[in-house]
Amino acid sequence: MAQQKSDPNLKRNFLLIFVLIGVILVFMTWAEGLIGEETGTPSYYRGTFVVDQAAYITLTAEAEIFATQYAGTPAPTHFPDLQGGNDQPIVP
Amino acid sequence: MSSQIAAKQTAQELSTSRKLHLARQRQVMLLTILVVAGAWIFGHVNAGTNVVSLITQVLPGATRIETRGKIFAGINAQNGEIVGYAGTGQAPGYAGPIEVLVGVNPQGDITGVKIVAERDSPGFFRLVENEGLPDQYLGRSVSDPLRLGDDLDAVSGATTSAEGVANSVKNAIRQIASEGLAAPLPPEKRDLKFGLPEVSLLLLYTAGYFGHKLRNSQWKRRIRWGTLIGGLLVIGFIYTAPFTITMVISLLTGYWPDWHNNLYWYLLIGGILFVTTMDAKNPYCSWFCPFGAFQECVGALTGARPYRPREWSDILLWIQRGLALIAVVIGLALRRPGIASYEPFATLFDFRGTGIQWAFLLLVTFASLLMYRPFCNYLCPLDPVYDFIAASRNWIRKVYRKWHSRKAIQI
Repeated sequence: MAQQKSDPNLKRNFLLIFVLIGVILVFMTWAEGLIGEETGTPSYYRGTFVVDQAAYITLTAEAEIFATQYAGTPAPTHFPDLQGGNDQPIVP
Repeated sequence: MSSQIAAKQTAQELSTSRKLHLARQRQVMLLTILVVAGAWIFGHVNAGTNVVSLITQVLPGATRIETRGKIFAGINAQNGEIVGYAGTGQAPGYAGPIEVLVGVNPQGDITGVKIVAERDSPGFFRLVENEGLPDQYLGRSVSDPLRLGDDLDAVSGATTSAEGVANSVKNAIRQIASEGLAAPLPPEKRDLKFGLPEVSLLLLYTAGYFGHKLRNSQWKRRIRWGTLIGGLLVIGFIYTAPFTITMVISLLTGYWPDWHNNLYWYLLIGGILFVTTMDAKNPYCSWFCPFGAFQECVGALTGARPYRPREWSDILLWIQRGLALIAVVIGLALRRPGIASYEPFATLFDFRGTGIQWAFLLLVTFASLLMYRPFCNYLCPLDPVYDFIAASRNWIRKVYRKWHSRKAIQI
Protein backbone atom coordinates (compact mmCIF):
# COMPACT_ATOMS: atom_id res chain seq x y z
CA MET A 1 0.00 0.00 0.00
CA ALA A 2 2.81 2.36 0.97
CA GLN A 3 4.60 1.40 -2.22
CA GLN A 4 1.50 2.26 -4.27
CA LYS A 5 1.28 5.68 -2.58
CA SER A 6 4.89 6.63 -3.19
CA ASP A 7 4.73 5.92 -6.95
CA PRO A 8 2.63 8.94 -7.99
CA ASN A 9 4.89 11.24 -5.99
CA LEU A 10 7.97 9.78 -7.58
CA LYS A 11 6.49 10.19 -11.05
CA ARG A 12 5.32 13.72 -10.30
CA ASN A 13 8.72 14.69 -8.92
CA PHE A 14 10.41 13.22 -11.94
CA LEU A 15 8.10 15.17 -14.23
CA LEU A 16 8.80 18.42 -12.38
CA ILE A 17 12.56 17.81 -12.51
CA PHE A 18 12.27 17.03 -16.22
CA VAL A 19 10.41 20.29 -16.89
CA LEU A 20 12.80 22.29 -14.71
CA ILE A 21 15.94 20.95 -16.40
CA GLY A 22 14.23 21.30 -19.77
CA VAL A 23 13.43 24.97 -19.14
CA ILE A 24 17.01 25.63 -17.98
CA LEU A 25 18.36 23.98 -21.13
CA VAL A 26 15.98 26.00 -23.30
CA PHE A 27 17.24 29.26 -21.78
CA MET A 28 20.84 28.04 -22.17
CA THR A 29 20.14 27.27 -25.84
CA TRP A 30 18.82 30.80 -26.36
CA ALA A 31 21.75 32.33 -24.50
CA GLU A 32 24.21 30.27 -26.55
CA GLY A 33 22.58 31.40 -29.79
CA LEU A 34 22.54 35.04 -28.76
CA ILE A 35 26.14 35.11 -27.54
CA GLY A 36 27.37 33.15 -30.56
CA GLU A 37 25.76 35.72 -32.79
CA GLU A 38 28.08 38.45 -31.61
CA THR A 39 31.21 36.55 -32.48
CA GLY A 40 30.06 35.64 -35.95
CA THR A 41 28.92 37.86 -38.77
CA PRO A 42 26.61 40.70 -37.78
CA SER A 43 23.13 39.26 -37.69
CA TYR A 44 20.45 41.82 -37.40
CA TYR A 45 17.54 42.55 -39.60
CA ARG A 46 17.41 45.24 -42.15
CA GLY A 47 14.53 45.40 -44.55
CA THR A 48 16.85 46.98 -47.05
CA PHE A 49 20.45 47.91 -46.80
CA VAL A 50 20.70 51.25 -45.14
CA VAL A 51 23.20 53.63 -46.58
CA ASP A 52 24.19 56.48 -44.35
CA GLN A 53 23.21 59.56 -46.33
CA ALA A 54 25.84 61.60 -44.50
CA ALA A 55 28.39 59.26 -45.99
CA TYR A 56 27.56 60.00 -49.60
CA ILE A 57 31.22 60.31 -50.18
CA THR A 58 32.58 58.40 -47.29
CA LEU A 59 36.13 58.07 -46.24
CA THR A 60 37.33 54.95 -44.56
CA ALA A 61 39.29 55.19 -41.35
CA GLU A 62 42.46 54.55 -43.35
CA ALA A 63 41.75 57.36 -45.82
CA GLU A 64 40.58 59.74 -43.14
CA ILE A 65 44.18 60.25 -42.01
CA PHE A 66 45.04 61.72 -45.42
CA ALA A 67 41.87 63.79 -45.50
CA THR A 68 42.70 65.61 -42.30
CA GLN A 69 46.36 66.12 -43.17
CA TYR A 70 45.98 67.53 -46.66
CA ALA A 71 43.49 69.75 -48.34
CA GLY A 72 43.15 70.29 -52.04
CA THR A 73 45.39 69.19 -54.85
CA PRO A 74 49.15 69.28 -54.22
CA ALA A 75 50.83 72.17 -55.99
CA PRO A 76 54.50 72.93 -56.71
CA THR A 77 56.31 74.44 -53.81
CA HIS A 78 59.71 75.83 -53.01
CA PHE A 79 59.83 73.85 -49.78
CA PRO A 80 58.72 70.38 -50.69
CA ASP A 81 60.60 68.72 -47.85
CA LEU A 82 58.78 70.69 -45.21
CA GLN A 83 55.32 69.83 -46.41
CA GLY A 84 55.88 66.45 -47.95
CA GLY A 85 55.43 67.81 -51.47
CA ASN A 86 52.20 69.57 -50.63
CA ASP A 87 51.98 73.33 -50.87
CA GLN A 88 48.86 73.43 -48.73
CA PRO A 89 49.04 74.17 -45.00
CA ILE A 90 49.23 71.15 -42.77
CA VAL A 91 46.08 70.73 -40.69
CA PRO A 92 46.96 69.37 -37.26
CA MET B 1 -37.61 19.02 -5.97
CA SER B 2 -34.60 20.07 -3.93
CA SER B 3 -32.38 17.84 -6.08
CA GLN B 4 -33.70 19.59 -9.17
CA ILE B 5 -32.89 23.00 -7.66
CA ALA B 6 -29.43 21.78 -6.70
CA ALA B 7 -28.84 20.48 -10.22
CA LYS B 8 -29.99 23.79 -11.68
CA GLN B 9 -27.67 25.68 -9.34
CA THR B 10 -24.74 23.44 -10.29
CA ALA B 11 -25.48 23.96 -13.99
CA GLN B 12 -25.62 27.72 -13.44
CA GLU B 13 -22.33 27.66 -11.51
CA LEU B 14 -20.71 25.60 -14.26
CA SER B 15 -21.97 27.97 -16.92
CA THR B 16 -20.68 30.98 -14.93
CA SER B 17 -17.27 29.38 -14.40
CA ARG B 18 -17.11 28.45 -18.11
CA LYS B 19 -17.93 32.02 -19.06
CA LEU B 20 -15.27 33.31 -16.67
CA HIS B 21 -12.77 30.86 -18.10
CA LEU B 22 -13.58 31.97 -21.65
CA ALA B 23 -13.34 35.65 -20.69
CA ARG B 24 -9.94 35.06 -19.06
CA GLN B 25 -8.78 33.06 -22.07
CA ARG B 26 -9.70 35.93 -24.38
CA GLN B 27 -7.94 38.46 -22.17
CA VAL B 28 -4.80 36.34 -22.31
CA MET B 29 -5.14 36.00 -26.08
CA LEU B 30 -5.44 39.76 -26.51
CA LEU B 31 -2.44 40.30 -24.24
CA THR B 32 -0.46 37.75 -26.27
CA ILE B 33 -1.38 39.54 -29.50
CA LEU B 34 -0.24 42.85 -27.96
CA VAL B 35 3.08 41.39 -26.78
CA VAL B 36 3.73 39.75 -30.15
CA ALA B 37 2.80 42.97 -31.99
CA GLY B 38 5.11 44.93 -29.67
CA ALA B 39 8.00 42.56 -30.42
CA TRP B 40 7.27 42.83 -34.14
CA ILE B 41 7.30 46.64 -34.02
CA PHE B 42 10.45 46.68 -31.87
CA GLY B 43 12.23 44.44 -34.38
CA HIS B 44 11.06 46.57 -37.26
CA VAL B 45 12.02 49.91 -35.68
CA ASN B 46 15.44 48.69 -34.63
CA ALA B 47 16.18 47.50 -38.11
CA GLY B 48 19.12 48.98 -39.86
CA THR B 49 22.84 49.09 -40.08
CA ASN B 50 25.37 50.67 -42.35
CA VAL B 51 27.29 48.43 -44.70
CA VAL B 52 29.72 51.15 -45.74
CA SER B 53 32.11 50.31 -42.92
CA LEU B 54 32.37 46.72 -44.20
CA ILE B 55 33.21 47.57 -47.81
CA THR B 56 36.99 47.71 -47.35
CA GLN B 57 36.77 44.07 -46.20
CA VAL B 58 35.58 43.00 -49.66
CA LEU B 59 37.58 45.53 -51.68
CA PRO B 60 41.22 45.31 -50.58
CA GLY B 61 43.12 48.47 -51.39
CA ALA B 62 40.11 50.77 -51.33
CA THR B 63 40.66 53.75 -49.10
CA ARG B 64 37.77 55.84 -50.26
CA ILE B 65 34.23 54.73 -50.95
CA GLU B 66 31.73 56.45 -53.19
CA THR B 67 28.16 55.50 -53.83
CA ARG B 68 27.30 54.86 -57.48
CA GLY B 69 23.57 54.31 -57.70
CA LYS B 70 22.84 51.17 -55.72
CA ILE B 71 26.44 50.02 -55.58
CA PHE B 72 29.69 51.39 -54.20
CA ALA B 73 32.93 52.18 -55.92
CA GLY B 74 36.12 51.55 -53.98
CA ILE B 75 38.84 54.03 -54.83
CA ASN B 76 42.48 54.17 -53.94
CA ALA B 77 42.64 57.68 -52.47
CA GLN B 78 46.32 58.06 -53.23
CA ASN B 79 46.16 57.54 -57.01
CA GLY B 80 42.43 57.98 -57.58
CA GLU B 81 42.07 54.61 -59.33
CA ILE B 82 38.98 52.49 -58.92
CA VAL B 83 40.03 49.26 -57.27
CA GLY B 84 36.60 47.68 -57.58
CA TYR B 85 32.88 47.79 -56.95
CA ALA B 86 30.91 46.51 -53.99
CA GLY B 87 27.24 45.67 -53.91
CA THR B 88 24.73 44.05 -51.66
CA GLY B 89 22.47 41.11 -52.42
CA GLN B 90 19.62 39.44 -50.62
CA ALA B 91 17.92 36.06 -50.96
CA PRO B 92 15.82 33.83 -48.70
CA GLY B 93 17.65 31.43 -46.41
CA TYR B 94 16.19 28.85 -44.03
CA ALA B 95 14.65 31.31 -41.58
CA GLY B 96 14.74 34.62 -43.38
CA PRO B 97 16.71 36.62 -45.88
CA ILE B 98 20.45 36.26 -46.05
CA GLU B 99 22.26 39.43 -47.02
CA VAL B 100 25.75 39.60 -48.41
CA LEU B 101 28.20 42.23 -49.48
CA VAL B 102 30.29 41.35 -52.51
CA GLY B 103 33.36 43.05 -53.90
CA VAL B 104 34.38 42.76 -57.57
CA ASN B 105 37.46 44.26 -59.24
CA PRO B 106 37.20 46.14 -62.57
CA GLN B 107 38.26 42.95 -64.41
CA GLY B 108 35.17 41.19 -63.07
CA ASP B 109 36.87 38.95 -60.48
CA ILE B 110 35.34 38.56 -57.06
CA THR B 111 37.59 40.05 -54.39
CA GLY B 112 35.50 39.39 -51.31
CA VAL B 113 32.20 38.07 -49.98
CA LYS B 114 30.96 39.09 -46.56
CA ILE B 115 27.78 37.76 -44.99
CA VAL B 116 26.23 40.86 -43.53
CA ALA B 117 23.06 39.42 -42.03
CA GLU B 118 21.35 36.07 -41.66
CA ARG B 119 18.54 34.74 -39.50
CA ASP B 120 19.08 31.00 -39.74
CA SER B 121 19.58 28.61 -36.86
CA PRO B 122 23.14 29.10 -35.58
CA GLY B 123 23.84 25.37 -35.90
CA PHE B 124 22.92 25.36 -39.56
CA PHE B 125 24.61 28.58 -40.46
CA ARG B 126 27.81 27.67 -38.68
CA LEU B 127 28.17 24.85 -41.23
CA VAL B 128 28.08 27.36 -44.10
CA GLU B 129 30.82 29.41 -42.46
CA ASN B 130 32.88 26.41 -41.36
CA GLU B 131 32.79 24.94 -44.87
CA GLY B 132 34.17 28.28 -46.07
CA LEU B 133 31.48 28.94 -48.66
CA PRO B 134 32.18 32.73 -48.84
CA ASP B 135 35.89 32.02 -49.48
CA GLN B 136 35.06 29.75 -52.42
CA TYR B 137 34.07 32.83 -54.40
CA LEU B 138 37.45 34.55 -54.15
CA GLY B 139 39.10 34.93 -57.56
CA ARG B 140 36.05 33.63 -59.48
CA SER B 141 34.73 35.64 -62.38
CA VAL B 142 31.25 37.17 -62.32
CA SER B 143 30.55 35.31 -65.56
CA ASP B 144 31.16 31.90 -63.93
CA PRO B 145 28.06 29.76 -63.23
CA LEU B 146 28.64 30.04 -59.43
CA ARG B 147 26.21 27.22 -58.68
CA LEU B 148 26.32 24.96 -55.65
CA GLY B 149 27.23 21.42 -56.57
CA ASP B 150 28.55 22.68 -59.90
CA ASP B 151 31.54 25.00 -59.62
CA LEU B 152 30.97 25.57 -55.89
CA ASP B 153 31.05 22.87 -53.20
CA ALA B 154 27.62 22.24 -51.68
CA VAL B 155 27.22 22.37 -47.90
CA SER B 156 25.53 19.18 -46.77
CA GLY B 157 23.30 19.61 -43.74
CA ALA B 158 22.62 23.27 -44.46
CA THR B 159 21.40 23.17 -48.05
CA THR B 160 18.81 25.95 -47.72
CA SER B 161 21.20 28.30 -45.93
CA ALA B 162 23.94 27.65 -48.51
CA GLU B 163 21.46 28.22 -51.36
CA GLY B 164 20.47 31.46 -49.68
CA VAL B 165 24.10 32.60 -49.61
CA ALA B 166 24.67 31.54 -53.23
CA ASN B 167 21.55 33.34 -54.46
CA SER B 168 22.40 36.47 -52.45
CA VAL B 169 25.87 36.55 -53.99
CA LYS B 170 24.33 36.08 -57.45
CA ASN B 171 21.95 38.98 -56.87
CA ALA B 172 24.78 41.23 -55.70
CA ILE B 173 26.97 40.28 -58.65
CA ARG B 174 24.11 40.93 -61.06
CA GLN B 175 23.81 44.48 -59.77
CA ILE B 176 27.57 45.13 -59.83
CA ALA B 177 27.84 43.74 -63.37
CA SER B 178 25.09 45.96 -64.65
CA GLU B 179 25.85 49.17 -62.74
CA GLY B 180 29.60 49.01 -62.17
CA LEU B 181 31.09 46.90 -64.95
CA ALA B 182 28.46 47.92 -67.51
CA ALA B 183 28.19 44.27 -68.55
CA PRO B 184 24.76 43.00 -67.47
CA LEU B 185 24.43 39.25 -66.93
CA PRO B 186 21.70 37.32 -68.75
CA PRO B 187 18.58 36.60 -66.65
CA GLU B 188 18.61 33.33 -64.76
CA LYS B 189 15.93 30.69 -65.23
CA ARG B 190 14.24 29.57 -62.03
CA ASP B 191 12.68 26.11 -62.03
CA LEU B 192 9.99 24.97 -59.65
CA LYS B 193 11.38 22.40 -57.27
CA PHE B 194 8.81 19.65 -56.79
CA GLY B 195 10.23 16.31 -55.83
CA LEU B 196 10.12 13.45 -53.39
CA PRO B 197 9.97 15.56 -50.19
CA GLU B 198 6.86 17.36 -51.43
CA VAL B 199 5.22 14.14 -52.66
CA SER B 200 5.99 12.37 -49.34
CA LEU B 201 4.51 15.26 -47.39
CA LEU B 202 1.32 15.26 -49.44
CA LEU B 203 0.99 11.49 -48.97
CA LEU B 204 1.44 11.84 -45.21
CA TYR B 205 -1.17 14.61 -45.10
CA THR B 206 -3.63 12.51 -47.05
CA ALA B 207 -3.06 9.43 -44.88
CA GLY B 208 -3.30 11.53 -41.70
CA TYR B 209 -6.42 13.40 -42.79
CA PHE B 210 -8.39 10.32 -43.79
CA GLY B 211 -6.83 8.15 -41.10
CA HIS B 212 -8.09 10.29 -38.23
CA LYS B 213 -11.63 10.08 -39.58
CA LEU B 214 -11.65 6.27 -39.52
CA ARG B 215 -14.05 4.63 -37.09
CA ASN B 216 -12.33 1.28 -36.97
CA SER B 217 -9.89 1.84 -34.13
CA GLN B 218 -7.63 -1.03 -35.14
CA TRP B 219 -7.14 0.35 -38.64
CA LYS B 220 -6.85 3.86 -37.29
CA ARG B 221 -4.06 2.71 -34.98
CA ARG B 222 -2.26 0.87 -37.78
CA ILE B 223 -2.46 3.80 -40.18
CA ARG B 224 -1.33 6.16 -37.44
CA TRP B 225 1.75 4.06 -36.73
CA GLY B 226 2.39 3.91 -40.47
CA THR B 227 2.31 7.69 -40.84
CA LEU B 228 4.36 8.14 -37.67
CA ILE B 229 7.11 5.83 -38.90
CA GLY B 230 6.87 7.45 -42.35
CA GLY B 231 7.22 10.90 -40.80
CA LEU B 232 10.13 9.76 -38.62
CA LEU B 233 12.04 8.37 -41.59
CA VAL B 234 11.09 10.81 -44.37
CA ILE B 235 10.52 14.18 -42.64
CA GLY B 236 12.99 13.34 -39.89
CA PHE B 237 16.00 11.30 -40.90
CA ILE B 238 15.96 11.60 -44.71
CA TYR B 239 15.02 15.24 -45.31
CA THR B 240 15.36 16.72 -41.79
CA ALA B 241 12.55 19.15 -42.45
CA PRO B 242 10.12 19.02 -39.53
CA PHE B 243 7.75 21.81 -38.55
CA THR B 244 9.49 24.15 -36.11
CA ILE B 245 8.80 27.41 -34.29
CA THR B 246 11.30 29.00 -36.72
CA MET B 247 8.73 28.54 -39.51
CA VAL B 248 6.01 30.22 -37.45
CA ILE B 249 8.27 33.21 -36.71
CA SER B 250 9.40 33.42 -40.34
CA LEU B 251 5.75 33.51 -41.33
CA LEU B 252 5.05 36.36 -38.87
CA THR B 253 8.09 38.40 -39.86
CA GLY B 254 7.29 38.05 -43.55
CA TYR B 255 10.49 36.14 -44.25
CA TRP B 256 8.84 33.81 -46.69
CA PRO B 257 11.26 31.74 -48.75
CA ASP B 258 11.28 31.67 -52.53
CA TRP B 259 8.43 29.32 -53.43
CA HIS B 260 10.24 27.99 -56.49
CA ASN B 261 12.85 26.35 -54.31
CA ASN B 262 10.84 25.90 -51.12
CA LEU B 263 7.46 24.53 -52.07
CA TYR B 264 7.84 22.06 -49.19
CA TRP B 265 7.86 24.96 -46.69
CA TYR B 266 4.59 26.29 -48.09
CA LEU B 267 2.96 22.86 -48.19
CA LEU B 268 3.95 22.06 -44.62
CA ILE B 269 3.01 25.34 -42.99
CA GLY B 270 0.05 25.99 -45.30
CA GLY B 271 -1.36 22.51 -44.77
CA ILE B 272 -1.09 22.72 -40.99
CA LEU B 273 -2.68 26.18 -40.87
CA PHE B 274 -5.42 25.18 -43.29
CA VAL B 275 -6.47 22.01 -41.49
CA THR B 276 -6.16 23.59 -38.03
CA THR B 277 -8.29 26.55 -39.10
CA MET B 278 -10.90 24.62 -41.05
CA ASP B 279 -11.17 21.48 -38.99
CA ALA B 280 -9.85 22.61 -35.56
CA LYS B 281 -7.68 19.48 -35.73
CA ASN B 282 -3.93 19.36 -35.60
CA PRO B 283 -2.99 16.98 -38.40
CA TYR B 284 0.74 17.11 -37.82
CA CYS B 285 1.58 16.39 -34.17
CA SER B 286 -0.24 13.16 -33.54
CA TRP B 287 -0.03 11.77 -37.07
CA PHE B 288 3.37 12.41 -38.54
CA CYS B 289 5.55 14.67 -36.41
CA PRO B 290 8.92 12.91 -36.60
CA PHE B 291 10.04 13.96 -33.12
CA GLY B 292 6.71 12.88 -31.65
CA ALA B 293 7.14 9.56 -33.46
CA PHE B 294 10.62 9.19 -31.98
CA GLN B 295 9.30 9.74 -28.45
CA GLU B 296 6.47 7.28 -29.04
CA CYS B 297 8.89 4.65 -30.35
CA VAL B 298 11.10 5.08 -27.27
CA GLY B 299 8.05 5.01 -25.02
CA ALA B 300 6.77 1.83 -26.71
CA LEU B 301 9.85 0.02 -25.38
CA THR B 302 8.69 0.48 -21.80
CA GLY B 303 4.96 1.00 -22.36
CA ALA B 304 5.14 4.67 -21.28
CA ARG B 305 1.73 6.19 -20.66
CA PRO B 306 0.46 9.78 -20.63
CA TYR B 307 0.95 11.49 -17.29
CA ARG B 308 -0.26 14.88 -16.15
CA PRO B 309 -0.76 15.50 -12.41
CA ARG B 310 -3.99 17.46 -12.01
CA GLU B 311 -2.65 19.83 -9.32
CA TRP B 312 0.25 20.86 -11.57
CA SER B 313 -1.60 20.80 -14.86
CA ASP B 314 -2.25 24.55 -15.16
CA ILE B 315 1.26 25.56 -14.08
CA LEU B 316 2.86 23.16 -16.55
CA LEU B 317 0.55 24.37 -19.31
CA TRP B 318 1.52 28.00 -18.67
CA ILE B 319 5.23 27.16 -18.53
CA GLN B 320 4.91 25.62 -21.99
CA ARG B 321 2.94 28.59 -23.29
CA GLY B 322 5.44 30.99 -21.70
CA LEU B 323 8.33 29.27 -23.49
CA ALA B 324 6.49 29.51 -26.81
CA LEU B 325 5.74 33.19 -26.27
CA ILE B 326 9.35 33.99 -25.30
CA ALA B 327 10.58 32.14 -28.39
CA VAL B 328 8.24 34.15 -30.65
CA VAL B 329 9.16 37.43 -28.94
CA ILE B 330 12.92 36.75 -29.28
CA GLY B 331 12.54 35.80 -32.92
CA LEU B 332 10.45 38.85 -33.78
CA ALA B 333 12.30 41.41 -31.68
CA LEU B 334 15.71 40.37 -33.02
CA ARG B 335 14.31 39.56 -36.46
CA ARG B 336 16.08 36.23 -36.21
CA PRO B 337 13.61 33.35 -36.41
CA GLY B 338 16.40 30.77 -36.33
CA ILE B 339 17.76 31.85 -32.97
CA ALA B 340 14.44 31.35 -31.17
CA SER B 341 14.15 27.68 -31.98
CA TYR B 342 15.10 25.32 -29.17
CA GLU B 343 13.61 22.07 -30.38
CA PRO B 344 16.30 19.35 -30.50
CA PHE B 345 15.15 18.18 -33.94
CA ALA B 346 18.37 18.78 -35.86
CA THR B 347 20.38 17.14 -33.07
CA LEU B 348 18.41 13.91 -33.47
CA PHE B 349 17.87 13.81 -37.21
CA ASP B 350 21.11 15.35 -38.38
CA PHE B 351 23.30 14.19 -35.46
CA ARG B 352 24.44 17.75 -35.06
CA GLY B 353 24.23 20.12 -32.14
CA THR B 354 25.99 21.79 -29.28
CA GLY B 355 26.58 20.18 -25.90
CA ILE B 356 23.43 21.80 -24.54
CA GLN B 357 21.35 20.46 -27.42
CA TRP B 358 22.71 16.94 -26.94
CA ALA B 359 21.97 17.16 -23.22
CA PHE B 360 18.43 18.26 -24.05
CA LEU B 361 17.95 15.36 -26.46
CA LEU B 362 19.24 12.87 -23.90
CA LEU B 363 16.90 14.30 -21.26
CA VAL B 364 13.89 13.98 -23.57
CA THR B 365 14.89 10.46 -24.64
CA PHE B 366 15.23 9.33 -21.03
CA ALA B 367 11.94 10.95 -20.06
CA SER B 368 10.23 9.28 -23.04
CA LEU B 369 11.00 5.92 -21.46
CA LEU B 370 8.90 6.90 -18.45
CA MET B 371 6.06 8.94 -19.91
CA TYR B 372 4.24 9.48 -23.17
CA ARG B 373 5.70 12.24 -25.38
CA PRO B 374 7.21 14.38 -22.60
CA PHE B 375 8.60 17.02 -24.96
CA CYS B 376 5.33 17.42 -26.88
CA ASN B 377 3.24 17.62 -23.72
CA TYR B 378 5.40 19.93 -21.61
CA LEU B 379 8.02 21.80 -23.63
CA CYS B 380 7.22 21.93 -27.35
CA PRO B 381 6.49 25.52 -28.45
CA LEU B 382 4.22 24.37 -31.27
CA ASP B 383 1.43 22.96 -29.13
CA PRO B 384 0.57 26.43 -27.71
CA VAL B 385 0.62 27.76 -31.29
CA TYR B 386 -2.03 25.23 -32.32
CA ASP B 387 -4.04 26.03 -29.18
CA PHE B 388 -3.89 29.71 -30.03
CA ILE B 389 -5.03 29.13 -33.62
CA ALA B 390 -7.84 26.82 -32.52
CA ALA B 391 -9.02 29.25 -29.77
CA SER B 392 -8.88 32.20 -32.19
CA ARG B 393 -10.85 30.20 -34.73
CA ASN B 394 -13.54 29.36 -32.17
CA TRP B 395 -13.70 32.95 -31.00
CA ILE B 396 -14.03 34.32 -34.53
CA ARG B 397 -16.70 31.74 -35.35
CA LYS B 398 -18.65 32.63 -32.23
CA VAL B 399 -18.48 36.36 -32.96
CA TYR B 400 -19.52 35.72 -36.56
CA ARG B 401 -22.48 33.54 -35.51
CA LYS B 402 -23.62 36.14 -32.99
CA TRP B 403 -23.37 38.87 -35.59
CA HIS B 404 -25.12 36.70 -38.18
CA SER B 405 -28.01 35.81 -35.85
CA ARG B 406 -28.46 39.47 -34.87
CA LYS B 407 -28.59 40.42 -38.50
CA ALA B 408 -31.15 37.67 -39.17
CA ILE B 409 -33.36 38.92 -36.29
CA GLN B 410 -33.18 42.47 -37.62
CA ILE B 411 -34.31 41.27 -41.05
